[in-house]
Amino acid sequence: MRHLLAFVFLLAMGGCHMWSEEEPVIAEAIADLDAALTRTVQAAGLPVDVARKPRPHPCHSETRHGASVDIDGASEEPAKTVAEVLASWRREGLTVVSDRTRDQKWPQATVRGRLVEMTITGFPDRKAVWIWGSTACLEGEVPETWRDVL
Amino acid sequence: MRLLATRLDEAAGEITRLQGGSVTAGLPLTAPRELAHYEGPLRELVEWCHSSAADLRRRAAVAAQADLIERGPFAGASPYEALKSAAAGGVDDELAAFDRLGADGDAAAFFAGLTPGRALAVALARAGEVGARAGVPFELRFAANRHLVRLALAEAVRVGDGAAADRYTKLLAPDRQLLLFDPRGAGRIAEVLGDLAAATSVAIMVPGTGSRLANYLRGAGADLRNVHESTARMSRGASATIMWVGAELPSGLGAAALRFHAERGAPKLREFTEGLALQPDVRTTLIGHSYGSVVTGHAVKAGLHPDNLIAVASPGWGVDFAAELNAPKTRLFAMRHEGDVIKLVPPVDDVMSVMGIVPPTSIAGHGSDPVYLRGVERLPSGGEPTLGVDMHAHSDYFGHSTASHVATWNIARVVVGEAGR
Repeated sequence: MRHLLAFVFLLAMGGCHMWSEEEPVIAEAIADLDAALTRTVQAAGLPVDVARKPRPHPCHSETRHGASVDIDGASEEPAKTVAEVLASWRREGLTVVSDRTRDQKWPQATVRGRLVEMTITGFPDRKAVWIWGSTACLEGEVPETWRDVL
Repeated sequence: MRLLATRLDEAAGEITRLQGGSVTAGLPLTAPRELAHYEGPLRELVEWCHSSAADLRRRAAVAAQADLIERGPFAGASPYEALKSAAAGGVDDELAAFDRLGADGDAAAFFAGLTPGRALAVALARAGEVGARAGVPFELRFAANRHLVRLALAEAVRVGDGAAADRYTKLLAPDRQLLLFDPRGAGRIAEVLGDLAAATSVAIMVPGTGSRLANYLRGAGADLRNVHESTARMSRGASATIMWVGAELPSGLGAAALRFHAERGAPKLREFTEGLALQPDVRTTLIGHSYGSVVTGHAVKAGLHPDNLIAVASPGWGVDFAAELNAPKTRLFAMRHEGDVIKLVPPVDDVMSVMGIVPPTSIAGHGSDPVYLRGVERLPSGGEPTLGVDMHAHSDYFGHSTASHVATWNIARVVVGEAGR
């Protein structure tokens, strides 16, 4: 009986999915990520031209693409930087997934937006922070600047 | 060289024809008796012609591979010179010695006795055997597999397979290190990130249903990079992460319900891992996602004993109790989003039992859910608390959605020995 119920539930989920609103495209998510990271870099006090290292975000799909960006920067007080960035994310209204800003070894915070997820991690032993941003996997045309990456 | 080989074969055929039959079968009965003493030399001449032709063709094939490097966009002087040297007979003795090693020979000792240039020449001339071979220095395996990718790219271009050509072009990026590459069938690949020879923490990941070479770059290969980006920063570069797609995985959910692929893949995973010959003080972690966790469970049951075993979104390790893994020193972890659809998928044995069908336990079912096994530590996944089902959650551990960073980070903590802090 429980298997029948599960089957019916899955059918219902599939049906709801068919009538759901139109999905955003990957270009929109990449633009969102780019803008969010620009604000994050500013909140972290990193140079505006700090290197952004792009890479694919896993999608396990033939038609969907995901983008990921790593930013490594220096910080005199990584724990403080992490806390300040998290505060800025809260002000933007992003959903806080994880708040480990009090972690002594690796203070960290992770937030989620509509199309992006971002994490900042502090490494106090080497006075560094790592900002990792990624998009959801979405369909659509990949922007020109990302075609060599995705 | 190919033309000369053809001429030699033609000459051998002409000698045989003039003798009125196969030289190897002896002179014709009608031949004059005084010609009998020519029989042996003629037979040797024909054999020499054939063997020389075959040797020339082998050298021509190697030389053609060198030309491929020369013309291709990924030219490297060393591989080119090494292959030219092999084609010209510069490492004939070494190649013969390698061939004599057989499957069980000590490849590490063999390559340790060669100069770097000669070792590279052997590795490239025998890339198909060297690329996946245990004991061969990692750098030579990388070089051999890179060469195999080059050959696959040339073939993809020749037949006009644009998708494959694009895939192989990306696999030839300078930072890629492959420990296994075979484009045949669904394909096989194992890639490592980080310095495997110097790493103090090594993770080996096995992906789930549907993973194959064609979708590697945006699937398992990207999963690998996500985990490694975390472990590398945690360990200050002292970690290496491997993605192993060294056995055929189920292509769909039907096949994923069976143990067949796990039982066939597990010995290969064990052989691959043990073949890395990592030092005893290196912390090893085996990570299986979805069906990949079934493969890892069977490999551990069969005697592969990593320091840590992590099941991610697992249908089971193929056991009902942790003790059945026979790995008391292996620390066990499991992770699953609360909304992951796999929680609705009971072991196939149970389903079939409900339906009144008793399956042979040797082929169906994956045992109990690792999350509920006694002795297994559950890792936080960062997923939303829910009693319902999120259809996409099963892929949301290394990427896919906007709910994977916490999962990836917590897996990485295990890899570098920081779990439970």
